[in-house]
Amino acid sequence: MRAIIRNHKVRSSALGYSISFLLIVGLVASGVLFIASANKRIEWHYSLREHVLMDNYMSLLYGSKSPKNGTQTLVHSSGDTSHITTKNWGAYRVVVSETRHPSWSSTRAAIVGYVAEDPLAALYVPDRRQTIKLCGKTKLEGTIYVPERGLERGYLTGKNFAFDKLLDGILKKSEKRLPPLADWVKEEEFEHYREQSELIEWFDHDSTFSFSQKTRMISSKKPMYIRQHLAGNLVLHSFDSVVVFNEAKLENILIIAPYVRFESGFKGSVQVIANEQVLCEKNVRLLYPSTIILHEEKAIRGGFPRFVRLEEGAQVLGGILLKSDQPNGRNPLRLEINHGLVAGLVYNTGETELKGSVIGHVYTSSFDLQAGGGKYGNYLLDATISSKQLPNEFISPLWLKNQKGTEPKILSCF
Amino acid sequence: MAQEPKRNRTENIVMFLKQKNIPASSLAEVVIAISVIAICIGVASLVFVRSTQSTMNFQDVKRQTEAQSEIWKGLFLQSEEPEVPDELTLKAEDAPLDSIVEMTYYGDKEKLIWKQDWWREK
Repeated sequence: MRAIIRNHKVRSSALGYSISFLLIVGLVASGVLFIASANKRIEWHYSLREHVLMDNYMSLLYGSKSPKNGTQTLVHSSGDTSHITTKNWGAYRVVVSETRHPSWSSTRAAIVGYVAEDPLAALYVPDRRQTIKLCGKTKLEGTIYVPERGLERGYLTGKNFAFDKLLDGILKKSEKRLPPLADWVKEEEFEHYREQSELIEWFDHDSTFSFSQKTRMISSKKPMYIRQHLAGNLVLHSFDSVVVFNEAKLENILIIAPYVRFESGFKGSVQVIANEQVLCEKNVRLLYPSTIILHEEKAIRGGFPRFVRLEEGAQVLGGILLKSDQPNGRNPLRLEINHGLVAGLVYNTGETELKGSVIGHVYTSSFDLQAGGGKYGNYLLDATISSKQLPNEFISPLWLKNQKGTEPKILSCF
Repeated sequence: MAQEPKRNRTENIVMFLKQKNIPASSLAEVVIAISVIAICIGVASLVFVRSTQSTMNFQDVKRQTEAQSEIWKGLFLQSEEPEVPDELTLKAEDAPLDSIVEMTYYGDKEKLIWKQDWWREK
């Protein structure tokens, strides 16, 4: 190597070395400066985003704590501005918060429920001087309000009451009527949503609708068949019926129709408002927060019976409400839970046939059971009603008039 | 034996340069180069010091992250106010809106770490 250098007479001078050194030092110094400024910018950027996200989530909670629906603006100390919109969405409320900063913004919507001030009864049956007979492996857990005659052991289809205690909880005497429903429940009907919504044409592809925009409604005079993925701020309405196939995927949408059928195996979160019948076939899972409201507007005159039916393995996580404007004693509304599960609140002004489980609260005018070829009034066979097994985090709809909501809980955030 | 006369230091250096045959221009180059290198090192160290000072202190970032973590926890649990990590203090101050409180985390020497609006529990 030395020989090569000598032969080629490679010469260098101190000035040459110093210029090279100058270049290297310059490069290093610029690199350090660049890294420092980039680091500062990244830190500033993330800090800004963190502020916007925190302010947005805080605004969401602030909106959910506000008792009135509408729009409000919140200016944060960080300089961010949030626009909060609150409205009713089925049995719950929707809060939308959009937080803006000159260079960045964040929008979030949430379905919100409210923790009831007073705990609900596990079972409430109005006093009509009847006795409620428990057969087989029927379990009652929690505070129950039953007629003065109370509970009795029963025998049906070869099954005696299987346990020592009739009740694991507190027994109280009920009034002659069910506790009244809240006024806002009466508004849960088609007209109410039509006024708030913008009609759009039917489409058969997947779509998501933002809650930060006006509610969209698809309305049809013909039966509606749902096979696609639909999510968000959408109302599906049919004057005839809505059939939801098991390949459909629905998230937080509303369905309004006289007749609604969920095909076996369907899974999704949906709120249903029907007038005549709701059928959940085998293994249908209406995920939390889902509700079914059956609102009978006109009395039946020899037509189809009005019912909500849950077939084997079907689940509704949220609540089921059956109410009638003109109750007919001969053809009452019916809720049939055949080896299915409801978690949350069940309120039925008609009769309930419970062969499954309600983890939560049952308010019903009466029980009815079809077994062994006969029909039996106020019998429970292999049924479970338990408010103790309901997790504290589970929020039931505030359908009862005297129920006051206290702390808001975000049920679903998107 | 005749004694060689004593030479002073300058004469010695001149003698050395004569023996090595180093031109005067090279000397000037060395002096300039050393000056340039010294200036370079000075500028680089100044840049380094200023850049490290301009970015946030690592401890401050750590404290800020801890404060943010407590704020998120408080938001999810809907606490009345977020918890306070060690080495930080939290002060609640009134905001223009009655229903809002400004929560401010302070570090050492009252250094502001994070400020967040919070709802006021009724």
